[in-house]
Amino acid sequence: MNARVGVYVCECGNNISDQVDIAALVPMLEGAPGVVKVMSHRLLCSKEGQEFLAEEVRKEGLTHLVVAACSPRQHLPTFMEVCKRGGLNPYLMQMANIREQCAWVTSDRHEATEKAARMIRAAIARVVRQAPLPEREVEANPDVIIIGGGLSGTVTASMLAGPERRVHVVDRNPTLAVALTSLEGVETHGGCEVEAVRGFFGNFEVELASKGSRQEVRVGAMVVCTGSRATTLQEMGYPGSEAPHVVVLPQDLEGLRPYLDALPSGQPKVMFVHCAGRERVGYCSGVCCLRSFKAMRWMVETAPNAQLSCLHQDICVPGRDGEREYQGILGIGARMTWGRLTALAQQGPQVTVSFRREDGSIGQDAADLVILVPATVPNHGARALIDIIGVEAGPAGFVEEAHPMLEPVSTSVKGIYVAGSASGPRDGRATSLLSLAAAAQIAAELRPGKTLRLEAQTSQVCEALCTGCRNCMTVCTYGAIEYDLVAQTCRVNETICRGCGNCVAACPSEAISVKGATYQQILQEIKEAVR
Amino acid sequence: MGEMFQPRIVGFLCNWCSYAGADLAGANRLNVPSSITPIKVMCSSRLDPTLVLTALLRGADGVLVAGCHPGDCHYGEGNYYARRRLYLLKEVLAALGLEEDRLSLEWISASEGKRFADVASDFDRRIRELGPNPIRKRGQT
Amino acid sequence: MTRNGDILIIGAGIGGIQASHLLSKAGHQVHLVEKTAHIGGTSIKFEDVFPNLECATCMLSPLEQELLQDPNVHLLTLTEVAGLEGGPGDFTVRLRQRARYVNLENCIGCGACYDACPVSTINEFEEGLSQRKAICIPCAGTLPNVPRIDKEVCIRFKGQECVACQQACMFEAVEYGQEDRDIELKVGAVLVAVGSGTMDVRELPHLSYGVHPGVFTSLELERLNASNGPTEGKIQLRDGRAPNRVALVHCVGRRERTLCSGVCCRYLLKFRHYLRHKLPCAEVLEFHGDLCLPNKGDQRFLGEMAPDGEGLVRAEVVRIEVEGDYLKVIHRRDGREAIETVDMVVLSPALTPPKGATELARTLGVELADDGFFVVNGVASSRPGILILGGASGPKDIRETVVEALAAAGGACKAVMEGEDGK
Repeated sequence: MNARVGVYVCECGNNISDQVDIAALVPMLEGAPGVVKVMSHRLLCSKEGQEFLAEEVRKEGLTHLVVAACSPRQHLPTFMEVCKRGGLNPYLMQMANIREQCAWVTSDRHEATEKAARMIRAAIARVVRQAPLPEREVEANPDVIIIGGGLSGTVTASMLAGPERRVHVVDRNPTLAVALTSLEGVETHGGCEVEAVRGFFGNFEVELASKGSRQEVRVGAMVVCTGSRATTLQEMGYPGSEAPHVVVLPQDLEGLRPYLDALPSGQPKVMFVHCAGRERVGYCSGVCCLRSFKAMRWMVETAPNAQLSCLHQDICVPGRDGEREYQGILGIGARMTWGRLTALAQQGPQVTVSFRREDGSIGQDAADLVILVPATVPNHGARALIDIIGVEAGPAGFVEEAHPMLEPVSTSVKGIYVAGSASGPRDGRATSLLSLAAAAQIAAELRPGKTLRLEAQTSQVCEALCTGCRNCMTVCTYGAIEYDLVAQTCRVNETICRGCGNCVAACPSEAISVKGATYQQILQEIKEAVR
Repeated sequence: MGEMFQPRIVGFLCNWCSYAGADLAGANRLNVPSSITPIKVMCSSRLDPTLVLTALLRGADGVLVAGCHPGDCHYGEGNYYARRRLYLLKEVLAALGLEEDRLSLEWISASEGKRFADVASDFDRRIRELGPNPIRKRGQT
Repeated sequence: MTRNGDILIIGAGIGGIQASHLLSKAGHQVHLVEKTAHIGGTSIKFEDVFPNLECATCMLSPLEQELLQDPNVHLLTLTEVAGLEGGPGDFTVRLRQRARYVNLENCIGCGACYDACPVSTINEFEEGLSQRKAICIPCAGTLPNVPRIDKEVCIRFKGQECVACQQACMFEAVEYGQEDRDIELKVGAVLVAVGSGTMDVRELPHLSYGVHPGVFTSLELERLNASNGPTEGKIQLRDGRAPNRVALVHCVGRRERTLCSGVCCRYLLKFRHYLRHKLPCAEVLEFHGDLCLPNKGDQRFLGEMAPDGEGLVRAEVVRIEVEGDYLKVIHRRDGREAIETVDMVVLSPALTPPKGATELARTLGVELADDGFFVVNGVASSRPGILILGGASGPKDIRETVVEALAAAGGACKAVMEGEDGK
């Protein structure tokens, strides 16, 4: 079928026509290949303009449409809608941005007119090489697998499980919390580990292994809820930390009781040491100062005779309660010293604590009990899991978010989410919120009974040209390209591809192209631009 | 003959940052040389060296590639790929008898309307100093 | 008229925007109500955002564009909530929308009207660092790209016969006859995403803000550095000179409010990046107390911005005195007072409850705490079906706000479905 291209130039009131000589422009375009009609209009985005355009598409039997108007950032969706109303595939329309990038930035009217003509000719040349792109959908499995049955796993599961969605919870621990096992729609897999993952968003196959047995679970999405833990004395590596009167602050404060019972009578000295292990891990965990202060307050009630002191670095207590809690600790007369722990030594009944002040000088203090407030690190096994499922991790081994601000519960792999402290040290509130957030995001993106809409302008591989070098796979940020072992060619997974085109540039055999921005299309645009 | 040299410059702009920056230059009614014809690409990483080279071989007097600032890429790290590829390409240009200044890679964000206008003007001036693309000249004679 | 699954979101900052996107994806109709004439909240005032120094406009404007084009999102600008009755799954909301005097459908955003307007006044969006017209958008690039007439300063609304903007408009978009209107909606849940405020540093007269032109607030510095701002990104003093020695003052108002805002340390480090980039010769002194840098990448950021502690002064600023063109920063360090003389001071004020929180809380029937922020349990307010996210319930950075936006959106879906509060 021969192309019938319609070119419609918007005057945008006078915004374009003031700078671009429309009367001179129209004849400049009339000879262009495939063009059957060139016409100007006062304001194409107006209701009347849109109706006019949709009618023109129908009446003129247009196969392609060029709208020379404002920036596509402003009105691309508007004119794509117009195409649909006119019965034209919306991808067969191309906008030429002759307002923002021509009329408004060019002072010479003649130059602006010439440039507009070049831009419109480029749009024509590009659009005639455009094939219609269908709006595609794929079926998706609404079920979800959650890895880790702690607080974040439990909250996420409770929000997602329901009559239309089964939730699997996997944990290395053989016994899972009753809160989980009693949830309707939740299937627990205690004592299991993830062995392998195949597939992609909407259709994952997860292989689970427990002692001797294997099992495959099919889900649409995964959530990493592996949590975090305190650094151990060994990991902190302070000399003398094996001293009997040195203890790491436990999650459950009751764990301190035996140590308190063993304190000498009178006014025993108890010292909290902040940032234990911080130098080794290389970051501030952010949740420990407040946890330490709460423990100190508990101590005042539990062991009222104890003389409290605190060796700390910069106090990090952001948010509504933190500063008040801090002031409260100052109020109870705890002795605060700024210093970095360097060594511990049991000397007689007491522990000597050596530290370095900010100016570099060395200080010493002694206490009957030293409580180390530990840095937070990713849980055991998180690293191995991260490698198996292929998500990106940061230098500390926490799962990296897809975007640190805008996508805080997504990971580098589409369809694999992260919640709780698997992505960084969190307190209880933040853990719950992240879990609610992950559940909400999955509920919105993977709706039971709904298909997944695919991006129209994705990459595709021409198998005949592909040599199987896999350059494309190494540059794809999204892991959207797979290698077909049988055919020995690469294949784009269009559920994941976002259409950036990086793989196209990486392909040495011109086997890949992005629909809607093929080499030919850009080449034709270039030719018109330099004419 | 004797007519003033009017350069033809292809400006490849990434959809997310630089194209928006160029739009902002428009919204602020700044001056951008009309020699530059913008071509929108989703990401600067879409530009394989062949496309840029083709533009020059087809007679473009200059090629400006503008992408997101390092760290800002909408697709993560596409702009780093673009940087690596185009730096390599610059090396090749000399072998073809083309000045490497005919190719420029710039980072322009969505809020840098002024910067887009400045970069475009500077590049236009530089290309005018270099004169017409020698390949085009040869082709015409 | 409407389904019970509809959701009202109050505030179109980054939290409201992200919550809208999620709810729209989940199939809900969203009514997004914004008090001002444009969307984007505080985040769109930033040039770069920490910790990766990403360009905020590049990050936010695609999200804003998408929002404006989303058929599931009904945006109501210049609108405030006047009343709320009912419960989860069945609220009736009364809204009051102020007239824009510009027709949103007809206006194409060309800006011809601002050039024609004879009235100039202070531009609040630019923190008062530049002038705007009575009809304008706050800054190029803000959305929706449709101006409004500020009735408070427009001379026509003071009785003069000015029709300059109407005559300049080719699209018959200027409508002096528009009136404020009342709107009633039925919704299933309400999200409060009004953000937080910043402390007025004039409350601390010893810091000389407003007394000496060399003293700036953090938001003023943001706009000075913004390439779409009043100076096109030149960091300069109010008389146009470049500063030579800059003091960044941490924790302004921390003691008065008993609150560590948790974001200031990071944005002051970001300012060092701005200053290093724009004014490489200027010396920067950072007067700080405890540094609060708990997030991934923060310590690396500190190392990059202040290698070997360069420019870091652990001291409490006692007061700032004016000495001619210069400012004396009197600070207490290791128990002794010392003085540094600078020509620019940037104060980082504490984040406060949002303006109008008391009234909004009363209208919505939810509780405020003693500190003026909304009472929350997670993201749930004290009233079922109403969820609070972001800065309204305490100081938050963008990341925390987005997490809460997603969590609250999920909570709203649950509230709608179950007719009860979704945690």
